Amino acid sequence: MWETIIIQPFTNVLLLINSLVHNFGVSIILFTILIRLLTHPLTVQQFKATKAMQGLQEDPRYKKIQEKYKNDKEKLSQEQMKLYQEKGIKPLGSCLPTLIQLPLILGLYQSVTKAMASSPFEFFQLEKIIYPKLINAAELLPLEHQFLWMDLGQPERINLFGLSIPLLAIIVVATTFLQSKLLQPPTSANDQSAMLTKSMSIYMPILMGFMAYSLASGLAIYFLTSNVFGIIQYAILGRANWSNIFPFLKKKDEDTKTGKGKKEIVDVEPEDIPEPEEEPEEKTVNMKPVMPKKKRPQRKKRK
Amino acid sequence: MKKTYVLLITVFIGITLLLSACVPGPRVTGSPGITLSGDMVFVSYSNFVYGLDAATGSMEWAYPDEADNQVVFYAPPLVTDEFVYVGDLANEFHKLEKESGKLVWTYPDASSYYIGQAAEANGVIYVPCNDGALYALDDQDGKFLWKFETGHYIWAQPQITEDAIFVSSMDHFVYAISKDGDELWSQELAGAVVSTPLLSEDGSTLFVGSLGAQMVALDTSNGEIIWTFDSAESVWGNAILIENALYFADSAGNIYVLDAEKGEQLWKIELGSPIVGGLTGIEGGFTLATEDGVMKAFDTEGTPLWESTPGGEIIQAPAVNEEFVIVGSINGDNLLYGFNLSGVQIWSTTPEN
Repeated sequence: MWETIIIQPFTNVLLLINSLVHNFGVSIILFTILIRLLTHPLTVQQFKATKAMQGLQEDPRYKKIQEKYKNDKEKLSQEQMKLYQEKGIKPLGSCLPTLIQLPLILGLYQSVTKAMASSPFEFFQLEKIIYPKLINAAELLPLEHQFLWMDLGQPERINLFGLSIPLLAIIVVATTFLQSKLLQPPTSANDQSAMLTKSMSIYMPILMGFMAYSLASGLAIYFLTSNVFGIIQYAILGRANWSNIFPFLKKKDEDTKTGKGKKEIVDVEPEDIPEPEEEPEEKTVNMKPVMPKKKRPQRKKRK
Repeated sequence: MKKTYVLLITVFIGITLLLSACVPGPRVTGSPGITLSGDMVFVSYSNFVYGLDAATGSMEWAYPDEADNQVVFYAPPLVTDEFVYVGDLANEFHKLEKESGKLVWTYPDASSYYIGQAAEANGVIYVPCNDGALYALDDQDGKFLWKFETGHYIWAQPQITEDAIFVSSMDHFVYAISKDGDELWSQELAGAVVSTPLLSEDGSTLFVGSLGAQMVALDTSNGEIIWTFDSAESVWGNAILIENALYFADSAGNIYVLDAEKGEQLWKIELGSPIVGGLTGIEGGFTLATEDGVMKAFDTEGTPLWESTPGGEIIQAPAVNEEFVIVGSINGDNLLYGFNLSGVQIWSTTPEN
């Protein structure tokens, strides 16, 4: 099922691209870009939903609910749902596009692996899934596995000054780190999601670097292309927080806010403008809760 | 908050450890390489090369002593009177003692790994490699003599005559090389060549099946095509010669029998299931395994002799000697199955060290 719906068509498209460009390294790059372009609308949708959720977290009503029901999880979730409905926010809106993208990205990874068949068994499995009307397998296969200095079927190493250096793995680590950093929202250090994103920006590069170091370089090229595409995509969508990479930009922003620097004209979408704060029912913020005075039960006098 | 942070770190460390455990050197999936020699069967699979008793399937030795995730074997071993030669997926080629499995020497300098079976002649070991080169090594000490580079992987065993070495490559070419490593001639075919070319008895003709759905006969003196036969699908497996008839199979499940001199079809059998490993000659006929795990034997006229179903997927030709037929299967109940020449299964095993 998975093979027929995802792997087979993906592999055939990858091979079709290869039959046009006659270079498997370039084919992997083009195919990755193609899949990422196809999933672009989902990414945009995901960004919008994330932005709306982030905006909501700054909403005074949201903060008030968090504070008020911090000891009653059930009530808290009910009130949050009410607020989501009121604001027209779908809580799964940021997860759903990711979930839809995941099988496609996994399929992309598997089809690259499949096309790099490196043994008779793998080669036979590849030949079995080729659409004969689309691709002339006898002419096209096996694919040329040399790309620049790399053997695409082998983990990449480059010999520099007598040392065998995993250059591609290092670049994958750097681009994964860059990508994670750019996605990190500029929020307070205590924010839970910011903490999660921060830790992701540490562990994801390690994980991806390890995979690029151990797996065939064809897959490392896919990781690298995907990262570079992601960075460009964030930049175009205006979601890249460059100040996380270049701290002087943050300082510049702060200066602008405090009026020290030049004023910047910022496009603000209507949904970003916080709603006017409602009159709080009870003045509980930053105040000790005032307990109603209870009447002390009168003691019965003993006779 | 702290709990979430700790949980996240734990999950990532867990995933990293899991991946490090799962990832061997090159991620290649293969089927067992099997060679039958005398009363022993030699099998390369996963992290070991095994020496087994051909009569019982019991393990005599395993090499290396302990599994190393980086070292994986799929190439069929070359077995001579005293030694076993086999390449691994960590780019090393090993010479072992046949009786004990003890290491004699290794050649570690190839730039890729080994899938094809080596060949030996006059004290020189000819080793096909996935870096596209055929390496000539000194049998005594594993010293590099020369290498001949082709355009792609070499998975087929080289064939050797007095004057030349014939090697087919996945680059769609067949090459004739002198004993000094110089090219004598090359011939382009319709597709990549996985199967081992077959030399005629007098060494004048080389029969080569390709993934371009063709069987060709080449003149070994100059590489010129004597005849071409178009099969329905790609030819993956080895051909055999019985008297003056050439027997081979294609991936559509057809067994063709041709006049070896003229390339004309004499008769064919349609089995319907892909035959990947090719055919192996037995007394009075031939045996084969279909990809869907069925063993079959026929006489030279195409009359079925016996059939057995070990199961799993079989993509290699059965290994045969005067007493036994051994076949390797993947994704089945066991890895190896032993039969007598009447097709009666006598043992099955999955060797574990």
